Amino acid sequence: MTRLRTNRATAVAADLVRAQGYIVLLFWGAMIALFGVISTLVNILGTSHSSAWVGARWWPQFFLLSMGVQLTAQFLRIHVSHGVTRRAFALGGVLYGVGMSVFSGIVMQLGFVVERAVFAANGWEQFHDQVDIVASPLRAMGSGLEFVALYAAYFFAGWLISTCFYRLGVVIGLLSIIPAVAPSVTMELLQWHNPTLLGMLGSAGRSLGLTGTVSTYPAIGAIAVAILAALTIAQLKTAAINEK
Amino acid sequence: MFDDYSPIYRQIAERIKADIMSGALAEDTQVMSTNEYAATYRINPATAAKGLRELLDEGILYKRRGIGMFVSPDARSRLRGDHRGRFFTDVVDPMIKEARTIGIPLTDVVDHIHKAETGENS
Amino acid sequence: MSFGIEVENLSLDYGDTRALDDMSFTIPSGTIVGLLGRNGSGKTSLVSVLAAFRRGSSGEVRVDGQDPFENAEIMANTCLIREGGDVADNERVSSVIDFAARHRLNWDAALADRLLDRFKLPRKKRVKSLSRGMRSALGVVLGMASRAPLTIFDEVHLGMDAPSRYAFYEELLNDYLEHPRTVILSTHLIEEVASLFEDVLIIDHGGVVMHEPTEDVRERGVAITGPIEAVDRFCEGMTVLNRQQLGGSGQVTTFGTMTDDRRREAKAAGLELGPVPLQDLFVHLTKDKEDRS
Repeated sequence: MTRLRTNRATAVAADLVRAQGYIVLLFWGAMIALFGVISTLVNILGTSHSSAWVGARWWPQFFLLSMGVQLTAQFLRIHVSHGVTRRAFALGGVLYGVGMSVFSGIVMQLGFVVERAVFAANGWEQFHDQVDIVASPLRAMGSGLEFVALYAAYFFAGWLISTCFYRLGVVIGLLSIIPAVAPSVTMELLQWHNPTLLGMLGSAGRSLGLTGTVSTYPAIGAIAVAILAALTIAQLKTAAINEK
Repeated sequence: MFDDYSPIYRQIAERIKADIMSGALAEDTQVMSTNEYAATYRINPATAAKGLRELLDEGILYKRRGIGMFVSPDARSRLRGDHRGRFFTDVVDPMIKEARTIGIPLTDVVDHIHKAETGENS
Repeated sequence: MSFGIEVENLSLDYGDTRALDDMSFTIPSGTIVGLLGRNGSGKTSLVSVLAAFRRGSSGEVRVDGQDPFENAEIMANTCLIREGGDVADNERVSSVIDFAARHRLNWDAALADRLLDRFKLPRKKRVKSLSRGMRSALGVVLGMASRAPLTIFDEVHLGMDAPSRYAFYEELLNDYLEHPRTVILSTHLIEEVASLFEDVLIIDHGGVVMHEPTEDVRERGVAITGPIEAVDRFCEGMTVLNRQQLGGSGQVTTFGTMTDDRRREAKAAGLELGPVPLQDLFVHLTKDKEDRS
């Protein structure tokens, strides 16, 4: 018998990149066009100057949510029917989700870094009432980690929701939305907007970039992702492949 | 190729026997392999093998190890002997019955046979 | 390399509906088996369990001696092709082929290429724009080129036209001769493929009706024709599948081994014995009780 050639989970992740890679490129192309190029032009032409890339920050989370939603519905059947175990599919999905979140976090931070250079060259202030999240490599790393955690929490929420729809039907699928997105919505509130909530969680500032201490959010994100992924995998492991 | 319902292995065996009797398959020549029969007649090789095995059991074919199956030296004469023995019950009797059913006098049948012998209607 | 199958007391429930009911059978490795059953008889449920698409509710399934469910080795070497085609509808034929090539361990790219040409499948077209027949043909290409030790075609050929179906049978047989493996072909169009089957497994209402070598089944089906009283007298104690009467004469389809003595006895009683097409046997064997006359 021919041995299993490759690690099946990485093969699954590679399949997902192959299938969705062009959508990812389209998405980031649109993001750069919208928030990078156009808003920079507005900055150059306008009289008041502030970071445009900040406006881009929540689009990746919805994009990742939608990618998570597609995962089980579109890819479970074709993988299992090609001899991939549900377990390998689930692990491949985890790799893909984490990879996509890291990729998105890096692109976000790169955007800020590029924008910072443009603003510095023109003598404009990038952040007015917000923390300068890429002021130092440490801050950039910290706030980047927050982005990654947030995006991953959304991706895995989407994946859990679609898996609930697949396995448990429409009603439970709909009901699953609330607990599934609860962590990511909370994190988002914490990250950017709500000092009170932040204070309750014992954090001194709005982001890691500000405080320079280990933030609560990546921790919440990591725990949320672990729980969401575990719930998803548990359901996938016994999933039947129904007829279309 | 085959009729749809009688066992195919039997039809295979019958066909090989017919080829042997007609001389198309000479004695001591190799017959096709199981897989060749399967591919030619589009049948499962197990079915082809069953037909060939029956001929081996009857001694119509013999096996040379590692080479294949061959027509037995006496296969043709044996088969012809068998068929001669069955000719009247299998062929002539039903013909007579049929002739009677449709009202052909047996004398006409006999005449027809005589003509065949003298080559008039061949 | 091919996989044998053992099924013991397998049942499968969908909620309150019992799809498979205490099935037991063994498929020797390296055979081509015809899985015959009416629509809704449980064919698809059965092959889904064999290919680890779902788990049975109770009982045991062993493929190559192991439970196939979530078994990486067995699943990678099992290929179930269903009529709908489990491929990405938005993708082009060529990428569907590439996908299979990446996941199938024994993939034969040359065979896939040749079959794509033979079935005139446009490589550039997207799957969703293919006709039903073309989709089925794509399934056939995937199933054949995978060369999986356990290959199952679930009614996949039914969407194809007759020339394509015959091309499929021919390709399947030729490839099987070169690369023997266990093949299960589920169908209800029996006659045209029956010569490919070493065994037939007939199921009905989720249970096994018959599992025998195809040739034995053919041999055991006998149609007895003659004066109806004589036919009835002769058939007493035999398994009668069907009885038709037309005036004083009639025909009874029986199922069972008929010895030479019995054949002579029939002849002496003025009865004619004839073979029964496999399709007819199947229809009679899976007839609903209330339909039986």
